[in-house]
Amino acid sequence: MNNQSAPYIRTEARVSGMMMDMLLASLVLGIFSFVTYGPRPLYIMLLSCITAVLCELVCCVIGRRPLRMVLDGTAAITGLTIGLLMSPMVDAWVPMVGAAFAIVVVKAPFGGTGRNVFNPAAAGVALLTYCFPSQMFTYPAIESGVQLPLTMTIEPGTVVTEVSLAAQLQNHAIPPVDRMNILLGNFTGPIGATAFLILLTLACYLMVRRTISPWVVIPYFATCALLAWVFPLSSMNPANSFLLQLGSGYILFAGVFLINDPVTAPRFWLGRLCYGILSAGMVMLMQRHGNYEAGTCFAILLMNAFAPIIDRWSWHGWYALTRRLRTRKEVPAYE
Amino acid sequence: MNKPQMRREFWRGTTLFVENAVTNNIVLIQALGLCPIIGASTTLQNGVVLTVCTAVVLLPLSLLMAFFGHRLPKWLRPAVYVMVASLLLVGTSFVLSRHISSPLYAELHHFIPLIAVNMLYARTVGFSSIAHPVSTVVDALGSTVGFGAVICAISALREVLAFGTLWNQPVDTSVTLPQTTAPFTAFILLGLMAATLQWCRLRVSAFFHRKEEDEE
Repeated sequence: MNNQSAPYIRTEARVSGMMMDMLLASLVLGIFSFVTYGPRPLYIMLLSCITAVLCELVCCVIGRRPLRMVLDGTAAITGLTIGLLMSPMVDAWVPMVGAAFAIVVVKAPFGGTGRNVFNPAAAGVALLTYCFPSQMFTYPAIESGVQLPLTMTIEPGTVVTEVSLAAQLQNHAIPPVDRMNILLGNFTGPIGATAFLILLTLACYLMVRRTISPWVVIPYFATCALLAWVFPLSSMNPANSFLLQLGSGYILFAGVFLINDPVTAPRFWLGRLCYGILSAGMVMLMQRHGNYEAGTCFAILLMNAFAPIIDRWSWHGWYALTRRLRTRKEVPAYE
Repeated sequence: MNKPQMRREFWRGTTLFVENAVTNNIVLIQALGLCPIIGASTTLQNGVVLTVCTAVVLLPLSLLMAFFGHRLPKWLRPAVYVMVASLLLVGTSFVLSRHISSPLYAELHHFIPLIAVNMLYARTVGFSSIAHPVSTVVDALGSTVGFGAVICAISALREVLAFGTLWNQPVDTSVTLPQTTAPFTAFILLGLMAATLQWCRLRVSAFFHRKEEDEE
């Protein structure tokens, strides 16, 4: 087994730098939620992060991989991502179960960092969505000065709950829309997935830092926006419907954190483009017609399975198309 | 048959059996017969019933194909074995529904017909139409044992996880997770079991490799 630093991305490996950027991004979202709900969101993120890192440590020891692979931060990002997709009043063991599943079942058996087929965070959240939907999708109401207690579980009835935007859309209800509130992320939803403008800003920042690839992110957002614009929810102002569809569920969050995973996304630029467009279509389909109010993770997992094929086909397709124009006729081998 | 010949035949048969049942497990390594495992292995009872169905159909079928298979043209063999398997399964499901347990049959009636077109049979029957009847029986037995071991292990695990019972007897578990009856648990368990088996095979072969090198 080689000791190269994974993930094997073609731009030169700056894994820990990338991970610091992602860490910063998730911290920004955590602080945003801290302002709304008090310290409990940060507590949930911390617990899930620690669980993920500990599980990675154990898996490294069992798999006899070098322990410094724990320090590259991928496990911590997985844990934080899972934490960010929880409801702020979720029982604290739920993100821990998700993080442990993500590392022990989805990441480690395939060979750890850089070799996983599926995005561990998406798989962890998908498991939690399937197994504990009531835990995942019970959100506290946004009131001024609400402070969630820092306990393992929250007694039902002690916190005022509210139905999230995504659930209202799924039940064909027409939520009262205040465009400013949606843009500012001032509506009910998961810890990190409601901040509309912050997520867009983070996407720009990470693209400038080259941590996430514009070849995935821009087509993804563009296709999501296009689909939301072309197929508005019935009996609703198109602009409102557009904002509501993009703001609900994990759509924006997935664009920043989930589909950009350098390991599971394709590497060739055309492949990335196709991947972004296809996953946007799949995500919007799941959001409109799925069983759960947030089916994004299932869509991402599905697309992860297709990513290698998309990558290879786009590679060969591109070189077949441009064959006439090139002076060197042979196709470089697909890596 | 003289003595060394018999010993050789015995070892060949044993190897065939152990290969299908363990080292080259029909489910975990060759990835055949996955459908009933993923769909129906939610309780240990289901697992055992499917194993018995497999045994009841596979043994006569492979014997039949061993005696008559080589006389049939190649293109006809699959059709014949699917037909014979379906006939045998009609009998099996009749016995199951009338004389053993009709609720169990009601639960499994989707999967029992599917056994007829199981790829596990395609392999065994394909093997038996070119092999000696004795090795055919040994091969079929090995396949059944391999399939049965995997499906029983997975269904027992899922039953304990999902309902907190084992063969309808309550087991002392603190947490039950009814969602484990969904197919994805079986996929994950199968994957982990296959990975473990591969790991063991690698370990064993590496051990013998090292031993050979040391002897040299």
